[in-house]
Amino acid sequence: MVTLVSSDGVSFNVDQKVASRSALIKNMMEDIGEDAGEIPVPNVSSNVLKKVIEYCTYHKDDPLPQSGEDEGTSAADKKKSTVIDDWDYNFLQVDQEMLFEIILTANYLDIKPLLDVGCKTVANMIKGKTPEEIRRTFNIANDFTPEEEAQIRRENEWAEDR
Amino acid sequence: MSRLPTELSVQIFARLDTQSLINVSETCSAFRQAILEHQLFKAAATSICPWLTEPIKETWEATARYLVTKPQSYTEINSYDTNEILAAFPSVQFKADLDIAFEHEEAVDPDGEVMFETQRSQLDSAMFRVSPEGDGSIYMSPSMSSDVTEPQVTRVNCQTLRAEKVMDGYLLGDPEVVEGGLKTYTGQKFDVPEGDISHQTVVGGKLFALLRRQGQVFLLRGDRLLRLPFAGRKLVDIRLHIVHGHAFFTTTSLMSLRPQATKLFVVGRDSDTVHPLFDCHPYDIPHNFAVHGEYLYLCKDMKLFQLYCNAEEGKTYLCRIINNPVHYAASKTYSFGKYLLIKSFAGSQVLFDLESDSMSHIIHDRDVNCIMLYEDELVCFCFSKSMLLRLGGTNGTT
Repeated sequence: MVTLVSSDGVSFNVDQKVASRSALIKNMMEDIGEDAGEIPVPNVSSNVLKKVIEYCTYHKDDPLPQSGEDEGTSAADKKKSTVIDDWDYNFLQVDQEMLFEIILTANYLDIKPLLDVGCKTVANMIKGKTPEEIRRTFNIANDFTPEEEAQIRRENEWAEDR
Repeated sequence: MSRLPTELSVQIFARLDTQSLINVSETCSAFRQAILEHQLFKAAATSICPWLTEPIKETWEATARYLVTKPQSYTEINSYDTNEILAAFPSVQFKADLDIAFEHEEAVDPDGEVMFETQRSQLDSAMFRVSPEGDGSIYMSPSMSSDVTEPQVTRVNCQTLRAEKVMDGYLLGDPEVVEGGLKTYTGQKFDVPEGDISHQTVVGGKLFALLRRQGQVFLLRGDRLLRLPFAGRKLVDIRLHIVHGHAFFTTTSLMSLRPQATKLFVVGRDSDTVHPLFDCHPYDIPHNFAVHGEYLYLCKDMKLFQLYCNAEEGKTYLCRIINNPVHYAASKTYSFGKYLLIKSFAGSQVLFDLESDSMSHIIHDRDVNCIMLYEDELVCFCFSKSMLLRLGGTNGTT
């Protein structure tokens, strides 16, 4: 077992196999040895860490991505990989703040499959929306000046259905 | 989402289709910058059309634009195989028996007819004329080729082509010298002064041509002869383009290997003054010189320059610089109305819509030349395959 300690001081006892889903923690355990003891995860709050551990526990028996393997390396692969399996889909039915925290944590802890499914989820939320709908969905401030906006609209005119 | 680092935003955007990418790029400056800097349009285009050739991939934005408007035309083609791509194009077999490789072709348009001049070498050229009578025939002109034993018009089967007027006048091919002048295809006779005549063009019944005598070059406009300040044929190659009655000359020095040895000149419709316009790379002109409306288009330095030329003043004004969708330096351009066929040295070719500044078609055949109308559809001519390739409608939405 290994103990992960969140930024707000909450400890989680995790099976080493589960913790090894994170390439970062796996490397730390290999460096420190069997007596890994407590491993601080300073950038991750307890509620997010709990969620990430839930993901790692469910996927603990999945084959690990090979070192250097970049899922979706080619654009075609990326396009193909917009499908999300049911468990992952339901797992990521969380509020946006949590979703982005999970993505950030997956990136920080180097959990490639979780990062990938998180990105897919956000991409699916974007697809089919207009720029204004995207702004509303993600609370994005429009920082274009009216002149810039007009310019961009002119540049992209060709893409509009006419 | 804005608080995600750019690298993560890019990972998300990389999973979007082209249209969604465009929409994201319009939401805020940070996303727009990320998409442009990481060439995500290119990635999206490549994912839809993995068979796109490298030069086209490099023009990712133009490609993306194209794919957004015409995705259905290409999604079924999965490899860069000429036969496969050609098979996907509806095509019309051109029945002329043309089995030689042509190096030079010009589509010319005498009042609604289409003519092709083909040239294998300086000693082997031929002119093809599509029947104006609509009888489904194509005519081959007398040829300078030594292997044409009977220099007479040869009729071969072909479907009739029609074209809109794109340029004043037309080439006459090898003139038939008759007593007192020369005779055109149509039987018109023109009196010409003594000398070696070339680049004949008829505009409004008036003969325009270059006339050379020993060490001298003249512009012939009807019965007016204007001496041009150019050296003789051994020193300079001169080509003449008549546009809206104005005479444009391209001159390329045959004595210099400097890359800027080609120049563009103009003589206004009613003027006797020769105005130098600008220096050009030899490859830019005369091949990469097109006219649409009041504007000259010049493919140069991987860009398409739109120029307004006041021929009477002899001045050109740069209106716009448009990114050349071919990306690589253009080897030739052919213009037809609002369309410009741009061929690159790298082999890729696109049809560019001058009115919308957008790439209209990607053409995957190096031997495609000339664009024209055929039964109200835009077609290009593929000499090596003796085929017409149909490109689409011409109502502005191709």
